Amino acid sequence: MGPLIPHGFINPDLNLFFAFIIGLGFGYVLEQAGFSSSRKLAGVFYGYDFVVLRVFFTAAITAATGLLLLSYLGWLDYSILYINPTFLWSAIVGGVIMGFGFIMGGFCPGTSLVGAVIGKIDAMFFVIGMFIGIFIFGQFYESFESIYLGYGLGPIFVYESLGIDRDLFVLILVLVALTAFYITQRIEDKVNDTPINVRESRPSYAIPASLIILAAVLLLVLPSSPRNSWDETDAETILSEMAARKHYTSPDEVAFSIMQGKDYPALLVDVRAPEDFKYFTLPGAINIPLNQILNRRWESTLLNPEYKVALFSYSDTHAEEAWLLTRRAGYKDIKVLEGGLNNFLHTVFLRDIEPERKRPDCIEMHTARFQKEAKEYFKMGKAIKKVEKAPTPVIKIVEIEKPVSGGC
Amino acid sequence: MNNSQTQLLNIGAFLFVGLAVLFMLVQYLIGPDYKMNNAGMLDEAVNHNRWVMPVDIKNMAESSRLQDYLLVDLRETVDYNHGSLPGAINIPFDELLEKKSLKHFKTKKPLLLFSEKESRASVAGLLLSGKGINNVFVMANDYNYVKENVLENYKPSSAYINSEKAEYDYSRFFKAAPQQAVQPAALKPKIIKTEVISVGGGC
Repeated sequence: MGPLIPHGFINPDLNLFFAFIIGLGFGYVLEQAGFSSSRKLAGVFYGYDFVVLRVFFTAAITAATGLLLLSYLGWLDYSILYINPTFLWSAIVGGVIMGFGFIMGGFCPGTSLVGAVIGKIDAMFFVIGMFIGIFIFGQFYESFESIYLGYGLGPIFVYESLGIDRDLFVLILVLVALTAFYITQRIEDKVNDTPINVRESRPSYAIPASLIILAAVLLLVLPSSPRNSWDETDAETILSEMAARKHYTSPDEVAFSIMQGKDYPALLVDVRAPEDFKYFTLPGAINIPLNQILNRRWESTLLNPEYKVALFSYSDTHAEEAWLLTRRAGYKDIKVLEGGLNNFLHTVFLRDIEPERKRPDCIEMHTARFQKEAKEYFKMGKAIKKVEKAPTPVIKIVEIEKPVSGGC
Repeated sequence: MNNSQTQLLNIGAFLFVGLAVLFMLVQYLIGPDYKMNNAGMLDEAVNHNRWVMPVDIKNMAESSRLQDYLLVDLRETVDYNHGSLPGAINIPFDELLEKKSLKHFKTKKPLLLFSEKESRASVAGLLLSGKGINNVFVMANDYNYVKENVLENYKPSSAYINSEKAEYDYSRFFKAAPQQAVQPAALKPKIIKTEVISVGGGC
């Protein structure tokens, strides 16, 4: 479901299904608003019917406040929303073409489909014309390309161009929209000579108007992001887990997982800077620098239940900082390599592996034997071979196709 | 549109906004008590200069500016009793967030945390920042290192040492076939699937 509901509650494979549902809803609303009638659509130019303006402005302000409220609540990730990039030339040319089409046919692309579906013959012809246009554009794309991609401004925002605060802009947009609704209603009445009794029996829109103003003001007053979120772990739990040293994994364990990758799969995450990672790292480790540890890109890698995740840096400092941040964000079962790389190297290569006591018990003997093995293993450079078999993070590339038709 | 429909829509709108506000309140209340969000803590960990290096400790100890800080010893009380920095108070790591400990931090002095391990002092500092305590500084290296190599017998070579430094020449140990391990190309993420989302524009 694209950006909606983080933490993977909704399977991405359901995307198309939700797109279908939303599409149905969109078509239904267009139909209900009367947009299958070209008279209604043309009314905005003659001044007898402004329902087009009202519907689209309502949609804009509802969507704007809704998006911001949901992203504030943490149910929607605003940062991964796809913003249609602006290409100035194609916007101008496309706008002119669409304007002509609108005047001639009385529909815009979306509403023509709605009209065609409910059986309007002119709308069907409009749709056929649209497809011919799409076909021509597709065939001659290369000659159009310089215009199509000309003057690309990237994804731009109105509030950034105006240089004002995002939430303030939403409030202004809401106020402007509501004023426009009131004024256009007056113009309509004047053009149509609506009798007084009809005017007075009209329902009052004071309640929805005040509610949306309230929502916009709420967004303006609230801080840009909440100080806490319901799915985070509280500081006391983190502290007690750290004090109990539950989050450590020993160098022996990590050495074992490198040697026996199949039986004991582990993902080693190097949180040092990329330069250090390039210079040296443990076999099979991946690099997630500390400043990117909370990046959503790595979420599925760090939360994969198929392997254990162990963070490390030169010592534990940065690894434990990374652990603290991920733990607060609600990640579980991530470990920190105790003592980091320095301790790993010391343990595996340099320590004296003879048992301390003269007559060791069974466990101590096994441990010593394993440690000897590990030492040989890493000294012989066998560890290096593991690189190819090491768990690699799997990234699903999601490409977003450029939309073919612009707005209506 | 007749009046009963309008009323229904009004009730719906009320319910929607009311529920949104209610959810906000509930989420705020059941969420853990932090004064700084997680991104703020990450920023604090990465970008803010909260480390006090050995050379700073040395200079401050000489000009007795160390007393401008509230020195917090996060080690166990036993270790603290064996000796600590002059003027330091003892708050064991696991009691860091208890009420009686937090009372100590309500001071205008900046805090300077140290422990038997650099990482403990660091995470304690982050937790305190998350709880809304400003001006938290962390001493680089552990207490024993600072005591031996900075305060008692200052070595200029240790001026900018902290725990996050390589202690060994790592390439020496992995001589056998170091290049593959170093090459990040072998570790590039595997791409399994290309998904195309098409975005329909406008209406």
